[in-house]
Amino acid sequence: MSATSSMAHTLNVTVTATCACEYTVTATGNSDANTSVTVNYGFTVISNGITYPVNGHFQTSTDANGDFSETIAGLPLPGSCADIVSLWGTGASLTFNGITEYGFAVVPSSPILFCSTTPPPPGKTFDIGPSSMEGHLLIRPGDWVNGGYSFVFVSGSHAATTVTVSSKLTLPFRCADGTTGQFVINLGTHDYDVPANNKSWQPTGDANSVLSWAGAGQAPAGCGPGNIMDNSKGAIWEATISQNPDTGSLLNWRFKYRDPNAKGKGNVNCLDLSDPRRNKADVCGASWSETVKDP
Amino acid sequence: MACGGSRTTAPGSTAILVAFCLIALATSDIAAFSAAQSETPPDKALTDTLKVLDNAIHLLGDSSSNYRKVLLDAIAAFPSSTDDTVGADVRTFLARAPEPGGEFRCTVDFVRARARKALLRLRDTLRKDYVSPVEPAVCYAAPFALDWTQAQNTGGWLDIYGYDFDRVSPEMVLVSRESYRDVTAALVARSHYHLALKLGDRAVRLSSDSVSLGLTWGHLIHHSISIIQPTSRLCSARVETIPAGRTISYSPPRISGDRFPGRPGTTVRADATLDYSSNKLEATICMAAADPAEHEAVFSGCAVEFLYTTDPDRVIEAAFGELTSQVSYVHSNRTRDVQNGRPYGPVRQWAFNGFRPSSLEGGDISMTARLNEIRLVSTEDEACVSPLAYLEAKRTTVVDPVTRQSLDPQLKKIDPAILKLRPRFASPTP
Repeated sequence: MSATSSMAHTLNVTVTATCACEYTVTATGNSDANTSVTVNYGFTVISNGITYPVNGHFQTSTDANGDFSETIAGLPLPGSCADIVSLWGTGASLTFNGITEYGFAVVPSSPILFCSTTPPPPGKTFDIGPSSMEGHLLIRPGDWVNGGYSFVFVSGSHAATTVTVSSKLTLPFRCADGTTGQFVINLGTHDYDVPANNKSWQPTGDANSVLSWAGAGQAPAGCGPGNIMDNSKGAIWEATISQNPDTGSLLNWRFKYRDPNAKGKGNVNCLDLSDPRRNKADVCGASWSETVKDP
Repeated sequence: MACGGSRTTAPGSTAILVAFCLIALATSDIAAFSAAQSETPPDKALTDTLKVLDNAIHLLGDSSSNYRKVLLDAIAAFPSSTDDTVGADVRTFLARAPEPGGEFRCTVDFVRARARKALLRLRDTLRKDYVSPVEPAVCYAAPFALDWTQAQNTGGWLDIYGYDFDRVSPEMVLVSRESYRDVTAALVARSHYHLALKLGDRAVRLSSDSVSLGLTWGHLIHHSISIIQPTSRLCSARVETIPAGRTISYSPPRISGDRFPGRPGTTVRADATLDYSSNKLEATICMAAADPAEHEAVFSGCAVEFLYTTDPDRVIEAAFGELTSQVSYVHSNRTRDVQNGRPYGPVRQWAFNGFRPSSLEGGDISMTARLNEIRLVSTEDEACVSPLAYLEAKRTTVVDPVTRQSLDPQLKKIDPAILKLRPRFASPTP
């Protein structure tokens, strides 16, 4: 891929980056014969989510036909090159005999590099959300915030396995004075034995069962003692899961959360079997999130 | 159970890099999570910046708007005291946005929606609200479903178009009836909006057991491309109806002033946009009310409202009608205004409450949108081929005659209304 300006002369600039945080720039083109040309180029690098503009220039000479070709290697690339690095060209210009022509393209030979060397964590981690199934909540310090999830094997043909799930809920909030924050409810680590070829939601498909809740915690005083935390963004469920043995089968996942007190239903821990209020659907009933598929 | 609270505010750390680099939209998220300080009272620069952003967000809700013009107008309208990162973020979006055409086979509606989402994130960052990591999105695949026979031809590629693929590590899995296999080695990132999977020359070995290809990041499959075989079954598809009358409410926060915006001449605008993914339907609702006088009260904001989930083993593939409703008017002297929506948009009626023109007290204004009937198409998400995907593949690629002979009769069982639909962001001319 190359570009030609509206002028008669040509300039093709290619940038090749590596995970060693270096780049090579190659320029070929055509200008006046036997003259000195200056190539100015620019491209942008996004590394670890940060955007860096890169600009450079170099001189070379044309031959009797006006052609030139120059490669400069080992130039430093900004950023850490530790994760995903993407590049896109911003443009190049060609200067010779006192004339500058603009509008040439800079083309990265490989626009995206995957440079992560971090070993994968034990199990795998994913998240769902933010999802606001419970709507706009005004959470008081001390409110019981309940969290639960369920999963199902997509295929009805899999080996027996134990699925281990460590998860947490994160709830962002805003205070009356404008400050913001988030608090976390740890839902603990649970093992679920799933028989071979089972295609039922685990640990239960019954949203009213106590088993559908994995954990509960009391909301902190994130906005100061007695002050309400305004939660309009919903909740994020983050889980780290593993299978033993690994069945190599797809799983569907979903989650839910509930603050009964914020719904005017009393401050109820939905895992507390001694509290009769937990059995009422309007107290501990909650909508499921969207379903996500985990390979 | 352990609970821990933390409070965060200004994206202070982002400013450090401003002098010599543009900051991508994603960057601000990190700061919003990590920096911790108290919020200062809203200053004029922030208020004026939010006003510009809110106006652009509202304009981008209109499907006829030119997103480039809206963003360029916003850059020009930012006050000179606006944090440099804001303009840089918008310029970065413009530099990265692809032009629909041969190299990007999605409609401009998709880019406009991404632009709006980017401004909403920017708004949340400035407001020090929670901002989640940038999530890529897929808008189209060519072919939209893969004919097993054609896919194995020499030189065959699958092209996937979307946005922000460089924010994650994309992977590809080949899903079979009972398991899946990583085929990421055949995946090539052409740009942040274009991934290509090499299929031919045995780069991906398909078998009669192959069901789909799944584009994955963050350990989840975010987009599936069905593999069509003569033995394939078309998924069941149905039209689901959410009855008219459902309401969604929102009360925007005050972003400036200490009086109430109830005076005649107050400009009020609101919009609601439906969005669906997986088996979930939600609405993004925005409202702004601004007193015409300088330095007077301005209320504005947006929120995402959960509306509906269909069965967990189905996916929502389409919605009938327009997905956005907008309203804009100048308030007179009532305490409550009612505006009618349009019959083919999601909102039937807008009601605005809380205007108290004579009061000096602050208070809450609110908007309640009463929705029209919403009709969705949901499809079974098992080892089958979506009818919508099959039809799109037939429209845009060559499907083996034997496969057609097997699958075409199954279309007779599908609601004719569904058969007229195309994928949401498919270009009008393939």
